[in-house]
Amino acid sequence: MDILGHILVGFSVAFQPINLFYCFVGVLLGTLIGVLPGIGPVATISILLPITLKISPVAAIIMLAGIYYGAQYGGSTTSILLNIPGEASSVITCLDGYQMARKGRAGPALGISAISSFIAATLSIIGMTFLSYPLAGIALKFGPPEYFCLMILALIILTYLAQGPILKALIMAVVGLLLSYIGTDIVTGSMRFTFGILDLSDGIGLVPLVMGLFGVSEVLINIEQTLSQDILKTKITHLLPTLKDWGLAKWAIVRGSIIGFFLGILPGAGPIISSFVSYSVEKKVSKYPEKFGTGMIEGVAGPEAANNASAQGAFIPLFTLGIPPNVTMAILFGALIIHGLQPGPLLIKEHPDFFWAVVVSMYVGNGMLLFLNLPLIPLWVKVLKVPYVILFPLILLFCLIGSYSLENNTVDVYIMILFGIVGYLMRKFKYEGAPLIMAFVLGPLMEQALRRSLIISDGSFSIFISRPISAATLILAFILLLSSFLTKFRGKKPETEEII
Amino acid sequence: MKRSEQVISLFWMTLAGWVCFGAVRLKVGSFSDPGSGFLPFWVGALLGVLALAHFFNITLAKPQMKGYESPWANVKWRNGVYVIIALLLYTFLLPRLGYILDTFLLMLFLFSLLGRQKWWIVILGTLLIIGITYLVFKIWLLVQFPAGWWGLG
Repeated sequence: MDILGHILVGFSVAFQPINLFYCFVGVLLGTLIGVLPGIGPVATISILLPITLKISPVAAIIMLAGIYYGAQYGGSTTSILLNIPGEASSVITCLDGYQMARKGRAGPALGISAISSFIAATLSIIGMTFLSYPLAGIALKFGPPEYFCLMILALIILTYLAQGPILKALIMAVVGLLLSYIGTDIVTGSMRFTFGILDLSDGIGLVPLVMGLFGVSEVLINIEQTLSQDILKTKITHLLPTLKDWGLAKWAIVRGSIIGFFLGILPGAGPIISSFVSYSVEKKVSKYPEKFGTGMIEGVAGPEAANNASAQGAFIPLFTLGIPPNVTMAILFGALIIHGLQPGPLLIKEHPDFFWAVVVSMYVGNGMLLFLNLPLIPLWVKVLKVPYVILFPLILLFCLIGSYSLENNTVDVYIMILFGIVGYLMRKFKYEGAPLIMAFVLGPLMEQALRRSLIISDGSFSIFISRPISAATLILAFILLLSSFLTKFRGKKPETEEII
Repeated sequence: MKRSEQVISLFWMTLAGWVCFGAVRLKVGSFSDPGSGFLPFWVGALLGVLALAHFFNITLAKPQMKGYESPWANVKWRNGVYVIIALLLYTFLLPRLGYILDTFLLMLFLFSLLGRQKWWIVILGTLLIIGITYLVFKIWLLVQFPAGWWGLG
């Protein structure tokens, strides 16, 4: 069957009423949590992951993916109206979006944000539609050494792009690997680090781990502060940008889409970096760079296009290579495994109906998001008024139910609470959770690939440098690692403010 | 901050030592025949090296007092402690009290934690949440909630 035939099959699956329903639920929840500061897609997806076990894999992934890209849309609403980013990827939108709102142009700011998000996401999905097949074909030629080196590269890039010191990020990645070794060794069958607890024989579950590290810890951080939400009192009118606005924003959208798409594919980059890069590019190419930060529409359109294109692009390495480029994709990777689907090139070959249904659902979901974000803006503004006093008990209850329902035992709940405390301390001492989760998810695959490689080469590590792809990825990983240490000795890494 | 970072580094070093010791007991094996403890040993050793590097990095760094703020300054950390205790108690009591009663008590506590609310709003909100979650999870998604001593689950 050719690509068109597969797409048509994807349409027939994605347009089944039940899948349309879950797509809608996903994008609606995504927008909701994007709008609400204090809860992000990582926490939401991990909270809802156990629930998806009761539905079909295709509906589950359609919904979870919808939450991820839906959150990128919702995040800008708070940036523009509150000057508080709903999502980390919308931080940069605060600069010009909030200034536009203060000048009485909240409507066009929200409008261009939703429209540029839609255009960029659609362009990115088109790219995904045509790139996935050839990429998966190349990935099929990879052996264990290539996979091992690629996973090393993915981890190194993620730690390289971490916001804190690289040593801390590397420590987190190593701790993630160690956590993944808990349980039964699949090769020898012996128990590793289980302390004689039978419930740990299958290892630590991904769900209690991420719920603790991202859900519970987020609540613990938020309730120790006095949260105030001052919504800008402005009338939201004229959501559709004027012709002049279009003239200013069109190339920013195109540039943002391209930047976001390619950075989204790269491991570690993701929507946050894409939005920052897009903003700095817009500032560089602008005739009036000094006016950025005072309410320039390009400063909203570019980054919003970039973070949405990036969110879509991130699905490419997950589906074609089986390597998650960021922490949300790592959780989706876990979700696919839980549903009995192995992410990677064989996924497209063996389950084309699943893959293409998810891709088609993204086109549909983005269309839904445009309608959710333009006419329903007043509703989201009302949602912003939900106090955290009401929100946090609900988040905790969902975490408790979610971790309990996995195996119907309380051990997973205790594990979740333990990692909630660990996650809280990590945030306090600026240790990032993303490298830990990525390493935890990739750990078993890396171990398998390394052991197989060593068996093939009879214990010789030269297998990693004698094959061109693995050698190239290892060299790239080494250069990145070296450059991050050299940057440290020459001067510190550029901070967010410096990029701006 | 410097002191706490040093303590954390020492914690990572201890953890690394413990992992390596455990890996040796599992059998490390050789490069051509890796055992169960092979990767845990080398990854544990890597953690030790990184923690040591971080320790020296922190110890040799110049103190930067300007703009420094303790992670515990100006925060209501007691709220977090209360929540953790409540979650642990909830988990312990879940098989005993059952989902409905246990969740009722937890929600009452959490809703009252961050400020005084009207009691009838708290009770009504709690009952509503229990009702909705029971319908969604127990009836629709068939989650097996514990019934507890009184069969309320």
